[in-house]
Amino acid sequence: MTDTPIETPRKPSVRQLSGPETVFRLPGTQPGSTLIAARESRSSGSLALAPVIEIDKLYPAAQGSRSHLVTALGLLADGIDFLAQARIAAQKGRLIESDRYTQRFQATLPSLFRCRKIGDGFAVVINALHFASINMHGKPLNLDQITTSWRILKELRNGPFVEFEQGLEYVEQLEGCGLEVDPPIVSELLEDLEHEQSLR
Amino acid sequence: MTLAVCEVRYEDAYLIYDHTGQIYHELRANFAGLKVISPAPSQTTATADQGSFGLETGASRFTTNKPDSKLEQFAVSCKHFFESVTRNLEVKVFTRVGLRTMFRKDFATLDEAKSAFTSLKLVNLKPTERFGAAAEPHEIYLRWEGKDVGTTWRLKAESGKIDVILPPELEAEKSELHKAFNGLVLDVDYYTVAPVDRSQWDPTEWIQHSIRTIRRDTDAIFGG
Repeated sequence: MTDTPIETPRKPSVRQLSGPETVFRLPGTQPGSTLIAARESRSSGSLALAPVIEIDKLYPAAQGSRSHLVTALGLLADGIDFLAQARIAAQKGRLIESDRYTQRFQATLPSLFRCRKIGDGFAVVINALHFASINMHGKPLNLDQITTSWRILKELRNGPFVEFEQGLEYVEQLEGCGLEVDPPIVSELLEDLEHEQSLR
Repeated sequence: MTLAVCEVRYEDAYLIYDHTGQIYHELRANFAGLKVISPAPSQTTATADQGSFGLETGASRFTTNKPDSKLEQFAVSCKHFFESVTRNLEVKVFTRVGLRTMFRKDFATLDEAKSAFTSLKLVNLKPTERFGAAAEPHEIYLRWEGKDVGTTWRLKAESGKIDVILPPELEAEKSELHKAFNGLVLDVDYYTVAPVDRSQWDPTEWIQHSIRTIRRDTDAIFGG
């Protein structure tokens, strides 16, 4: 008997469905499509220690992909690599070499900005890094600033869909190491405002 | 494609007892014809024009039996649903994310479907009767699993029958509907093994990547 009786949707029975398969509800489907009753044996709290998935495994790069995410992951990987090289050079006191790598990282920012559709959290971090580089007016980043940018970029690459609030936390960390992350016009307006307040 | 399901699992989210109503209230903005079928404290099911929803303490899923071929609309629906769920239940990490898709190729008879299955040569066994059942298997179930992702892949030659008895209130010309089909059914479940952080997962991106992977590797299995 191989017939497959498929019933019209009706009120499903109430039961927990957490077998090993991605579950769907079709009451009365063939044996191969029924739900397996085995439960996962993951104990509560185990996630605290379990490493999360690698982002490149979750979104493997496909040839010819026009996805903003795939583009951004590639650019972020380049940026992380440039900043890592800049850190090594800065640690060894080779400041010109460090600045050269930092500039190569900064050159990736406009392309990353074009991927801002990924999310508000992503966009706010890239924006902040972009304006931080503009506000440096050609001065090189110090080791602390390079390290902070490098660390944040790594975290952003592993979790590009960060919430806006988390993005703001990253921006605060950039500000904490002395980077000016506001657009130049905003900085000027703030300076004018502070100047006016000091005159009162 | 006859079915698509996207499911996320998480450690028990007890905020479900407080926020289920909020989730369905938010879903009404994006899903026409939303109707809660089975409201229960720890498990609620609902349907809408776009598909059906399942919300539980440890998992939630969106299902459609009319998926678009590239799953673009399906992915948009998933994004609306899962964003509301994860925000309201404050889910930070998914223990598993899965995409299950079913495809069917119809044949005139079950024997034709079985012949088509055999011609694919997916099983390297001599055609000898085994277990007193049959000479050739007509179903194959495979699983590939690494430390990050896994897939179960099932192909079966089968026949099916749909029997619907219509309620008399409809006053339809026919009080019953019956439909039989024979075909090859492919059932692919693509899922994550390692935990997925909330900031790593976007339903639209992931579903598009996943369906491409499913199609590419299934084509490769069929020798395409």
